Amino acid sequence: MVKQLPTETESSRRKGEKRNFFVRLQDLSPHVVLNLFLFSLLVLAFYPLIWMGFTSLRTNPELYTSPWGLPTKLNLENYVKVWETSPIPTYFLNSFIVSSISTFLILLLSSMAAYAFSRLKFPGSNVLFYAFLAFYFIPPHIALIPLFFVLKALRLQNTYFVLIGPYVAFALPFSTLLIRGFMVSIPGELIDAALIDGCSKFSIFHRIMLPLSKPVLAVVTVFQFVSCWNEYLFALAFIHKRNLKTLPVGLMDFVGEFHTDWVAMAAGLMIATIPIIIVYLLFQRQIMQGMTAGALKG
Amino acid sequence: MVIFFVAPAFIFTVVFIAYPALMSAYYSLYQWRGMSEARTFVGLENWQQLFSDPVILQCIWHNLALVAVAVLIGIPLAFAIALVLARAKVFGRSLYRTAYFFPVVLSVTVVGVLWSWVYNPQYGLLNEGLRAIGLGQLAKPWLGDSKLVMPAVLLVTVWRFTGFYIIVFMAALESIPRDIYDVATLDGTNLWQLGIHVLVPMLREVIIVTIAIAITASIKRFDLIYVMTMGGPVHDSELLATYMYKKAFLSFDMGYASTIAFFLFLLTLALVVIQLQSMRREEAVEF
Repeated sequence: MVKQLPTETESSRRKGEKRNFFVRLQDLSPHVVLNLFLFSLLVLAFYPLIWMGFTSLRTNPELYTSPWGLPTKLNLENYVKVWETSPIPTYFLNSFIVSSISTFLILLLSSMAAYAFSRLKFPGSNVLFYAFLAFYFIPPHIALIPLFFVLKALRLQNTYFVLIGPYVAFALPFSTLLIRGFMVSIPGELIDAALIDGCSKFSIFHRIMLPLSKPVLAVVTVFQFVSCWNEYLFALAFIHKRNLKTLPVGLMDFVGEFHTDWVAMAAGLMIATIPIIIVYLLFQRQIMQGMTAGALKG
Repeated sequence: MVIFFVAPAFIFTVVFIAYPALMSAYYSLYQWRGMSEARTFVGLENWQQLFSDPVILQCIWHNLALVAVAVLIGIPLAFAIALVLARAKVFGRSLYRTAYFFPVVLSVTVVGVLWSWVYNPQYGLLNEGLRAIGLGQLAKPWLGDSKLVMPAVLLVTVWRFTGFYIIVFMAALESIPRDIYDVATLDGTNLWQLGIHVLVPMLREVIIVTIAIAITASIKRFDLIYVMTMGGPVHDSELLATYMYKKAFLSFDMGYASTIAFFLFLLTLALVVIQLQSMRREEAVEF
């Protein structure tokens, strides 16, 4: 990259070195600038969260005198206080239950439908598939108000199913599309061989399609779990009983109650965020794939 | 047999999506307080009200501002960052990718509360920072000011969503054959030229779909604004979705709220159709 200059005498060698240095600097500077730029964006993307972590370890007087300051010691009082006096543990449990059951149902129903749409050709299967996909384009907002009354008619209010029903339904078209795309690529010979061996359609699904689709099922699982965990609109509109609220909505109540107690609030927000950080760090590839599949495969 | 595999998924989508969506159109023709069964048929009165409601106009402007910021700032910025991350000499590429995407997976409540702290007039990080560097006179009640609230909120949307577009473009750039980069390097093309003249046309499809996603998401946007400002002060950061929500669940005007919901759906549809049509047509002229 940097040309070695031929050197004869001591002085010209030094000159060359000097030039080398500047050439190198010039060569390097765009990279330095770029790296600095990228790094400052990283700080910008991450700092609010780090600040929240710091704040959760401080006390209110400390915070009010210098909001930008660092914690002086590892003080977990705020966490203990929030965990013991606020309903955050309940919200946490609710979020976990709703997200787990929803994700399980999404996985089950969409892989069943994907199997049918990819392997069990039946009259009108393509039309039906596209009709099913059309639901993907209906925004939750348009269903919100009538859904409220549907759920009431189904007597689902004040149960977890008031959220699980809509979460599963709205996740199905996209999940089915993803899984079907994967199942189509599974070689047909495998299934033919299984048929000759006398496997039923159900055991083909259960013994061949599901195990082979593991990578895409992992994407759907992680992505849908995070989506359910973070869902806000339905959770806000449909749940009014405090002991059934999920984290995103429950946290808003908590924020209202601890209004002036910023450090406790920061601890509460950290408690809500830590599981997401862990899941994200472990499964970021699946989360990214799930979230970007719409743009890349649509 | 087939029915066994398909029926459960269909039952869920019909009960929780198709039927409510249709009912929404039906409700939009009624005046209905939601609490009782008493509905009065009012024809297109709700629609008349919608088109003469000044708040709706405000909402549309705010939603369009979200679209504009996503399409004109978020997406180009993300493309540039993705290009740099994919092609330039960068240390710790995967660390950057992890960090940039992180705001996307955070819970909306956490994002909203965090940023309302940043913007807090008394102890907020922004105002404190300004005071610390001697620019105290620039300290403002960011979310409480009718002129500043939208810019403040728009900045948060850029912060939250740019990571999403970066990941989309990074994945798309990975799909480009290596030879193209090699040829460009031999030609002495720099990264910028390569991006504009070669990669943007090559990734046209992905960019078009990404813009469509940005439009849809911006028109539907609800939670972030609801958490941060609830559409206020007054209606200064009101969006169609927050207005609809308030009409439905705070003033129990279910008929009008359904009309707004339906309008939101039609607006998204119209914008996306226009966008896809115009961008695809350009393509046809090119070749």
